[in-house]
Amino acid sequence: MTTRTIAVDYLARVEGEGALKLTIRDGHVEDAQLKIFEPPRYFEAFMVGRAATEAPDIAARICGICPVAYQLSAMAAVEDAWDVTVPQPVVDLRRLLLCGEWIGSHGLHVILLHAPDFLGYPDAVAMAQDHGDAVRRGLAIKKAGNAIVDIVGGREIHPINVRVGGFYSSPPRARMEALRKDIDIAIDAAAEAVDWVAGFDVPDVATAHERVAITTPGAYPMAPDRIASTEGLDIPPSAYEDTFVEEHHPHTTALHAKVIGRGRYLTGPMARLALSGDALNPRALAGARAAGMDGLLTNPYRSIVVRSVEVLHALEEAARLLADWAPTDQPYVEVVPREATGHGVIEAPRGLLYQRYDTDDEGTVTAAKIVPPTSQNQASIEADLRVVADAFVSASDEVLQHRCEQAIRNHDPCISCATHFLRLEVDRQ
Amino acid sequence: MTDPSLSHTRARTLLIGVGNTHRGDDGIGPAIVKAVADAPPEGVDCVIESGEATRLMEAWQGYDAVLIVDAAAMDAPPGILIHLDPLAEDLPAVEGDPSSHGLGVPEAVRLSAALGTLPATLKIISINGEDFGHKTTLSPALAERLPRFVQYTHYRLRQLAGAKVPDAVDA
Repeated sequence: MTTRTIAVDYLARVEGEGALKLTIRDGHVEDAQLKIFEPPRYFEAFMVGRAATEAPDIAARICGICPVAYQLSAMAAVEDAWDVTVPQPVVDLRRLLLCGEWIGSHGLHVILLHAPDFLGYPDAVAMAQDHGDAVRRGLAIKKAGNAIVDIVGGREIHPINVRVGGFYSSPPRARMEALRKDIDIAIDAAAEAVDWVAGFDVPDVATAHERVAITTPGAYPMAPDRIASTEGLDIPPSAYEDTFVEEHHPHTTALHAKVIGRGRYLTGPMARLALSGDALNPRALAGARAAGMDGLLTNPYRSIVVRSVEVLHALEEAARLLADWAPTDQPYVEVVPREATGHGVIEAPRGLLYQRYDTDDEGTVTAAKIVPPTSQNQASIEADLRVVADAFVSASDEVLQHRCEQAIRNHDPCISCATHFLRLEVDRQ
Repeated sequence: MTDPSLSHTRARTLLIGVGNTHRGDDGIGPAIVKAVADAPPEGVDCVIESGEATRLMEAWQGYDAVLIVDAAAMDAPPGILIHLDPLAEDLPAVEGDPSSHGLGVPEAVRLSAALGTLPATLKIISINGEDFGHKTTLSPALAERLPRFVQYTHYRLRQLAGAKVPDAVDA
């Protein structure tokens, strides 16, 4: 029996710091552990004693890539607790803001971070030498997403214009009108990007996970609503903690979530497409079908196509919302604190994001719970890794490492959210 | 992030302050650019950016000359200033591989070069910090030198505008 060990200091192009350990015995992958060693960040504890109206802005600081999702789910939870109903223009403007985040986050990941994997380049800079037009398209997409968040949210990172009950101010009309040009350019760029990534060669592997996502009848899930799964789950956000459980595992500082009584599950683009694919906007739906996205996708390497389809969908959605938008003098409703518990969910770019706040009658947070997508996906990422490592177990260490890194990037994990750099260790005997 | 309070007239030269004002000495670039923006030289636009690569590339589109002011963490005393010409020499390597949060100034320069979108002139003033902790103030070593950094930035802007100035000054 021989032992081979591969140690890779850092896996680039994911967000956060962690490590991967593969245990291989007699040519068979016994275990795959995604080890997240970034220390716990204690955001739930920070919330206690603060005004619940501060929760959205504090939660936003968990992530610089998806702060909007943290803000929207925190607001959904507090508004649920205080029985706040916001008017439709606020609902629509929040949806536009989330579109901006999906477009920016997915655009960055698909073109600049993930596509080089499929074309044999170490990074986007090297890829740009041969695929300059594709990179320019990616930049146009990201520019549109950044602009939406900047204009609606008040700034591009950690927006400052959102509040429990709505928005502090209506976005400037002139800037909203100017936004349409950026979105139109990005829609064409995104449609071409779908065709481009759909042509990538992918390994022939299949993985099976229960897919969990928000569902809204007749719509692609971009607002708080019920939670459903491919195994028949259909619950309100208030039943989240009765349905899912988080567990400590010794190899990681992030908690592992699972469906009580069943086990691991997957959130994110593959889950959303599985549950609501028919509700995509017209060009996104046509792009998805042309790319063969019908039915339940089981090859995780096709997630780059799904993510591209979602970019196109979010851009079409943004164009529609922008066309219907009108400024208002008071884009919020007043809120009255009370002693209560509220639950909020949203679809972050990487998947389902759940928050719960308990407040006293003065509106102070007495308890908080935040469950990000990556900790929900961690067990499924490890399951994917076992399948991929098994499929390439006879390959050279270099090929095995590359495929495993790709398998992780298939899920665009945000390790910082879950609790930075990924180290790979292969133990072969 | 762009600070809308700063000047933005689409002039020929762009001054970019890169940094996070909530991380101590990382805020030196924004602090300098805010001071310059109080009375900007003619033909100079001033913006503040987080340093994220795609935003930087977008910001410098259409400008002939760009001057970036950014903090550095060098093995040197705090307040040491170096003037870099990334079009003539590679930027010093940053420790660790880029994550999605980590596409910064070097990646922006390399990607922009590959796409042919670099401005004709690009210079960087890099100032060594000592305390990058969670605070909104500069360390004393940088705070007391701030007026001289601002003066040096004006000098480099005059140079970019074609003024005949000495090749080097003491910052």
